[in-house]
Amino acid sequence: MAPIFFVTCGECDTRFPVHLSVYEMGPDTGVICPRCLTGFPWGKAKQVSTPFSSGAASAPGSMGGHSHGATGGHAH
Amino acid sequence: MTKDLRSFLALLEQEHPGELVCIEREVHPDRYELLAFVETFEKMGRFPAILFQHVTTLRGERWPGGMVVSIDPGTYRRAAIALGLDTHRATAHDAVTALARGIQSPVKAEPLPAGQAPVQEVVLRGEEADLADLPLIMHYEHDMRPGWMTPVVAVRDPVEGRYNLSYHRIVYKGPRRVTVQIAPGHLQESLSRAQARGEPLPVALVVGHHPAFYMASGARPSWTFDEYEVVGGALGEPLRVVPSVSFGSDLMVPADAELVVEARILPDQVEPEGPFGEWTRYYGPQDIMPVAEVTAITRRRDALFQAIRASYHIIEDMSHSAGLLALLKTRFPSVRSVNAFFHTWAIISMEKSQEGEPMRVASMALAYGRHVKHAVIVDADVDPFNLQQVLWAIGVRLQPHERVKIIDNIALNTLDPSLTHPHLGSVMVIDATESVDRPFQQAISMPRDVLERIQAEFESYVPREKLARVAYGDPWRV
Repeated sequence: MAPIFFVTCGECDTRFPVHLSVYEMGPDTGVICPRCLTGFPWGKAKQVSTPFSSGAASAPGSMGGHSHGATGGHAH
Repeated sequence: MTKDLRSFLALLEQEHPGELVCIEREVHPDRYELLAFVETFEKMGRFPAILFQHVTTLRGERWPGGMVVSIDPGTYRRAAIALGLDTHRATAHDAVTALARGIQSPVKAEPLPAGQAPVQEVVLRGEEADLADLPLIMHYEHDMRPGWMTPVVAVRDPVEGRYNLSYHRIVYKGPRRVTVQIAPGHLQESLSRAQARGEPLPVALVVGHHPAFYMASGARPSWTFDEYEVVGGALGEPLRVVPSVSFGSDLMVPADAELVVEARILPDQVEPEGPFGEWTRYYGPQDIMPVAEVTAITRRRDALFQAIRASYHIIEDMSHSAGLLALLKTRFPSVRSVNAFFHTWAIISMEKSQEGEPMRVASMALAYGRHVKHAVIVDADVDPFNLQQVLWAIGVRLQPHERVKIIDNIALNTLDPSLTHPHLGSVMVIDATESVDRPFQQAISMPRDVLERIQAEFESYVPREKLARVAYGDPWRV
């Protein structure tokens, strides 16, 4: 597990890596799609691949170790 | 003649023409084309400096200077040229040693009166200062749009007044707005001090200067050094500086640069930044970084916009090799040579006198910074720049269970894709030196008199014309 998680943009479907520290700031933290430059809180992404596969780190808030997203994305 | 990018290019053109290629056709930096040329040359096994004579700005117009220079990938040969060494005799070690000597011999900067600097031939302020008028660059296909610069950031510490120089990735966020990627280091320390006062931090984004300026900027000298003076040591002459147009003498800027973007890092604003293709050959992920507001752009009339490929460049390896050599020599005169590369390895050769000494040397190397993840100590008979020799020493001079040490729970470069924690990982020390506390096997050798005689009479055995027909090449390749 690298210290990143992946976010998928709802506007252009671009999937991009974001540093784990942004995940730890919570789902209201803003990210920007590097392709179409749309800004959104990562919790509202089309899809989020969580960085946690074996409980090596704790997730913020109630996110736990599960994948999350507006369309119910799955971990990669 | 003052040492700057132009004097260096003139030197290449006149004395080392094979080191420089000019491309006249129009090239679009924001469409990934610069690196496509660099990588195409690389595949051919050629590593010239590339001078693009017709490039477009982010706005799509012709850059008034009409040129962008990629000095990257740098080579040890060009580094040796930049440091004034004889390229027929100099080795990579000689180049690193010359740079280490330079950065340890600071030379006071030479201030010029305002308005007399080449870098201020054109001064753009207010709405005239628009970053879209620069030939900003897209390096790799998934980098954040629309364009980047990889300048050296010059900052004057708000408490101690010393100048620091360091490389940072900068992405366009608006005509006068950028983010500055900051990792733990001297710039972050200065920014924290400004933030504690609730003040913005004036910075200069410096583009285009002599290679010695870049090499010295990449080294990590002591916090107590003024890095404008360190650059002077590497240049072998004072760095000429001039008051910035935005901050006056509160922020002096390099007078002989090609272009300077004057800006202030805001104490309380951050924005997402990245991804960006990094030295790891992976994308550095998006993160939250400080925002800087541009106050002015100054440049030469026909400024050369210098591009540094962040993904890998030998100039920075050289900087770290020299920085490490300088640091280690302060405590261990027995250290002979250092080859730091890939932002992760440091191969250090030394005259070992007792067991345990290599571990002390390695410990100091690890303290140099997060660029040292694997420290390998070899004896002085091994050339750290010859990786076959290094691997031979690791192969025959150590037992891994005795001489390979893993130290964990240590802060590493957060771009390292192998990390499993946001910043904590492990480092490895390999002591590949011969044991001195017990008899070690005798190394093979030739009878010296025989070898000298055959070498002296070689041509009578193998005449020059016969030697010319003998295939020449790398024994490790077919």
